[in-house]
Amino acid sequence: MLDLFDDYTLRTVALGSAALGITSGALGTFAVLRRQSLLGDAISHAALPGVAIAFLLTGSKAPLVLVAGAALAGFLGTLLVMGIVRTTRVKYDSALGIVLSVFFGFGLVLLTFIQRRPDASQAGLDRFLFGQAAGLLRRDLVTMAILGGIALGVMLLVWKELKLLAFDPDYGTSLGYPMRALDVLLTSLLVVAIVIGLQTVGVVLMAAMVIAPAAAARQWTDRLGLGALLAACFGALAGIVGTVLSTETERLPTGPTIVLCVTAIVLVSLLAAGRRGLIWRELRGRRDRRRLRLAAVLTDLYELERQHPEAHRGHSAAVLSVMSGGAQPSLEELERRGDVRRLGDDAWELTETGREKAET
Amino acid sequence: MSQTPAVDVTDLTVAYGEKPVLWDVDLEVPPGVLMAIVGPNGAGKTTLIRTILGMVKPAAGQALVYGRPYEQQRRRVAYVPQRGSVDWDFPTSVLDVVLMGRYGRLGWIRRPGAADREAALVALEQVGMSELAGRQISQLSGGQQQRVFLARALVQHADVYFMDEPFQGVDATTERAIVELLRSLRSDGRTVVAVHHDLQTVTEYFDQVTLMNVRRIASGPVDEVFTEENLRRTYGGRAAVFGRNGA
Amino acid sequence: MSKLLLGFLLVPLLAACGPIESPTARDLDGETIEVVTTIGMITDAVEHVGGSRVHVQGLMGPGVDPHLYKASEGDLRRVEKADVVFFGGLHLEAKMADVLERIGEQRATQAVTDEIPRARLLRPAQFKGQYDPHVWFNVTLWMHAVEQVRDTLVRLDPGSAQLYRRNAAAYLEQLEELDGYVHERAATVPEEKRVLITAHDAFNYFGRQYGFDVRGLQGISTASEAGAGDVQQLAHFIANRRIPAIFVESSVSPRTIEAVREAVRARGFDVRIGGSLYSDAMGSPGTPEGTYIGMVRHNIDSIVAGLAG
Repeated sequence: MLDLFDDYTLRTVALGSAALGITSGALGTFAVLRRQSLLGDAISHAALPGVAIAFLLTGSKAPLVLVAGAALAGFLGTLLVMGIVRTTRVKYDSALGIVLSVFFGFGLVLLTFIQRRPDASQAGLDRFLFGQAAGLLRRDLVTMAILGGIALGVMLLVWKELKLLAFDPDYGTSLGYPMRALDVLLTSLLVVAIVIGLQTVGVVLMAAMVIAPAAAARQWTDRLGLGALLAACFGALAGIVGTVLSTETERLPTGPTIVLCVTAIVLVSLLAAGRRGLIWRELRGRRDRRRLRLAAVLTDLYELERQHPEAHRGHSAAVLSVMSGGAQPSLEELERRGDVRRLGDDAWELTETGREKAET
Repeated sequence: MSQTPAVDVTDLTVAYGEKPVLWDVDLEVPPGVLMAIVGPNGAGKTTLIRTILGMVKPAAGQALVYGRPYEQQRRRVAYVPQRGSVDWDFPTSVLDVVLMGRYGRLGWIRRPGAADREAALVALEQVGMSELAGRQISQLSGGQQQRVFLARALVQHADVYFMDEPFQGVDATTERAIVELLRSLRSDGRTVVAVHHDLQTVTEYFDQVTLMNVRRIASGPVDEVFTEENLRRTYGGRAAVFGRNGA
Repeated sequence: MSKLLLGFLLVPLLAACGPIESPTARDLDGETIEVVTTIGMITDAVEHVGGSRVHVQGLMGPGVDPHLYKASEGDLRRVEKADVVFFGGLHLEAKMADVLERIGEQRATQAVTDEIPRARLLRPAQFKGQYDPHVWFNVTLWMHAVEQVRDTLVRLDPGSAQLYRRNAAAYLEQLEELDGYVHERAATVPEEKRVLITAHDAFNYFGRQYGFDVRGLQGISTASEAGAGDVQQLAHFIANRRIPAIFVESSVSPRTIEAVREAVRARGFDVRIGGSLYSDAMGSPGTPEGTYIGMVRHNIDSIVAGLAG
């Protein structure tokens, strides 16, 4: 299995995808906690015209230039969203939707306009739409690693400040922290995380890499630090598995496959994880309901016993069923536990242990 | 002999667009008292506190803490926001939240150390929550949540505490505990300014009261100020009488 | 009220029932014929055959990828004013298919590949029964296209039929020569080095006609994404066969080819980027590579230099 990674191309793309997964997973944790999940989507879509304009202005197809354009546009998009919310009656989600569509539409128009230029195809701007993981070169890896590393480093540095920002920004202001500036900082980190992933997964799907790993991690832990770490791991896992799958399979595009992997991780987490997992909750629910039923039947038997002072007279399941509905299976379970004794075909009575339990 | 008031507000005016939320408010809180801020919904009580703490920019007027603007006095002031202002589903523990009270001391980047944890545990002890230090805040009851916020403020060892509806939605036990806490703060010479929602308990819990409805109606010792007349002026005749002679 | 509503609904219905515009058969005698074409090779052919009788506008200039090109508003207006539209056909202009179809109902449109006998067309396996549209790389097939252009112009403008036939004959002669040239040059590359590797599968006809083994990283259409697996396999192939050069294309981003090169290097072999070939678009107008003949020459020269040298 490990010699899969002997291959240079697979290694390169997998590393790039992992880098993207780690950065977007970790920073996505904060976005998700702050109910800013869709901000990631808005930033990605807003980045498209940035790429186009960067190309138009500089004529360069160097990834660094295009990515810088993407970052600026993404950042501008967020400022615009904040501005709209602050100065008009438009709500946050509507503002996101507006900025997202307008910027993205503008980006598409620019791309159509650009396609007539002779050097356009050379720049391959289209790859920013859905990503082109196979085109990752060594120097791209280096760029992603450096930018991602810086973003993660800054995040770790001001970790407690970010925690404050996400949990109780008002309190943070009262302590003297510049919460507005911290908000801008966190958003900038998110922008960086997003733009380094654009070439791999594309503008349209990038939001998934910001939201899904964090959402999945939340199911497994109640600690912020562990959650961010787990999200980073999930992101990396999705990146690597997605790359391997799309490489080994014919005609499977890498970007979307990575997104499918991270979605699978979310599904598994929702169903199975710890206390919050849906499956465990269902099982626990059943167990609790069963306990209640057993206790009810035990108590009812006790009551009947007290009403009929002639002891050693069994009571039928039918009578009990009237009081607590469907008593037969509970009676059998109680018998198994030694709390109830069967006197006849349909006559039940409490044992000593059963009586003790009923009394408590 | 007049000492420097703990809180001194003059002509404070805040407006959102054309609508005034605070208008020409004057307030003087002497040190070492428990002051209640009381008024109907939308009276600007929360805004008053937020403006004093620098979160809202006033259109006019100023607010001083111990004679100086708030920015210079952060060390001496602690804030207990409304419980509902925060999402309690956040993945963090009780101790973690209380530790936030130490952040002001730590400044940027530095993480809380052993000394900070010690101080936080002491504060939790004071509010009777030490066994719950490791508990997730999502599993706390309303009263417990309030106590966590209080502990967070206590750990700052401030001189002035601004609280926003600290008694809102807490159980009887917690309410008694909070009153005890306020009283011990007062005997320590600290000052508490609290937005209070329950007219019934104003006279019992607080020394002074400020009645306001966008404008300041009256302010001073409870006995003098908490009268039917003033209540009528504040609530516009809507509230039943809860003065000293009331229920 | 409901009568008003009915009225509103009827109006568009009536409008739709109105007379359908019949294809304009403008009397072209003496008038300059407005021609719109898609790729540059067709533009070049039409200019040669039509001479001074035609005014040609090509929608897709140098460096433009016809597989991905979407018609803009300006293009639609140009097309609507044209007397005839020439396009490649065989799904080359994939994203313009419905535009061309719609226009076909109102104007004369002609796929230049229509006359080519289907038996001579390639049907690659991964393209699910569609034909490979890159016929211009087999010069003899392209000659059919030129004939198609001539026949169409003759039909539209019988008055100048002689001119068209003369022009076409001259051009066809040049193409005949070109075919010979390519054969000649191809022969200088040793058998085992005759492998042409490019960014997408555009050169199958070239390979068949002139004796090269051809591989592209992306498939017939650049719309499909090259996967990491494709890069892997190609790198493996190149390193094994020790192929000296691979080629980028003017209308496709060189990134994936560079990725292939890095992968080949990691396998311990170094392959050169032999140069940029003109695959789906020609060079800048005014340069030799801006003509069909110039472009074909440039291609074979680069290929030979890269592989044999």
